[in-house]
Amino acid sequence: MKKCSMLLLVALAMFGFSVSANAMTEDELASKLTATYDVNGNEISLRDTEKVLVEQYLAKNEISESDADYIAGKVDEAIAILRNANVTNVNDLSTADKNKLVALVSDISDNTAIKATVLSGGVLSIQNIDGTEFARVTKEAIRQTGTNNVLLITGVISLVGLAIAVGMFLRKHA
Amino acid sequence: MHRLQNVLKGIAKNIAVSFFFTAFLVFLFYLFVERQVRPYFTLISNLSYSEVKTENQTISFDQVKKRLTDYPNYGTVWATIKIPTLSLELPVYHGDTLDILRYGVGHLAGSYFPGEGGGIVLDAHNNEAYFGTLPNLSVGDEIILDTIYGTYTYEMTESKIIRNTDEEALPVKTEEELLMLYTCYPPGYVGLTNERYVVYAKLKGAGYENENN
Repeated sequence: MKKCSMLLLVALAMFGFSVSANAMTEDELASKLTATYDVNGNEISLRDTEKVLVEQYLAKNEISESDADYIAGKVDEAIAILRNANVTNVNDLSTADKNKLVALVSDISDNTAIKATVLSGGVLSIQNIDGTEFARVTKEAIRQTGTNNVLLITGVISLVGLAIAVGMFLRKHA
Repeated sequence: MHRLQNVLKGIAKNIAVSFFFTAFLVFLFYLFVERQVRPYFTLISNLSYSEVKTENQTISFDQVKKRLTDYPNYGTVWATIKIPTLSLELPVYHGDTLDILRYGVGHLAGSYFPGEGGGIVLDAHNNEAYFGTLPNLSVGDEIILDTIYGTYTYEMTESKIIRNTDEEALPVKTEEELLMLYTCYPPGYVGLTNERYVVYAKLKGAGYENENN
């Protein structure tokens, strides 16, 4: 009995040791996500607003070590995709490579508690662990806040209609 | 057959005339009337929006960690912005999608919250009901953020006209807390514009309602 217990304890200790040796903490994950990476001679990192989102997300949501590990792995994959694509600007990525990056997001959503969806227009919607929406991230940092475009659109339509009406009138009375 | 063609032509003509006439009426409405009735629509929208709000969340300010104990859910109201000089009082939502901007002031997700010591970015449409009168502010004018966890008073320090791509003009990682209000420029401009008007303000004072030490 004692021998079995000893073996069990050793196994648990080894397993426990190996888990804690590989598992990533939230702070380590935050550091990895906000780090600067060299990609083909160019330094790439998240925007400051995105770094703040990482801070706020991790402050609001408890991420398990296994999920943190998984996400860290996907970050490495993303960097590898960028390096292999041999581009210095993410905007120069091919559609295929962009799709690979999007697939990583789906991968994280499918395999961890962190859910994110790519919406139309290239908007990334990130959910909290409890299912509520945490944030939306777009490629533009500064929003368009002009007065709504209904005036512009209806104005143009009206002008087109007027032009057609005038044209028909002139043709009829030519 | 010929008669049927004539009838169809007549119907198509009537539809086209109706379409252009309706567009013209909508154009006139937005040009002359919409601005006057918008505050009433906004009030109604805010009343309906506020049901989903931060009432379901308990948020306070952690004085030790210098950050909120929780963050408002996206699309919820977490503050009211008051600018006495402009007689302006508007709800502030977390997030700034175009849908949110229809109802009030948006808070750029990825900027800090009052009290956290970083850059806070708020944006709204450039008409009179929202941020269209920002150019009337002067250095020293007060801007008050009445949040769900405390009240923060800021004092305007400067304003700038920036390009819409100039992210560095809206820094979030700042040494001192900085409130930035921005809107499209020029005020009241209809359509897409490449310029933004930004008001910068520094923190003058804070009062915490829900302290969490």
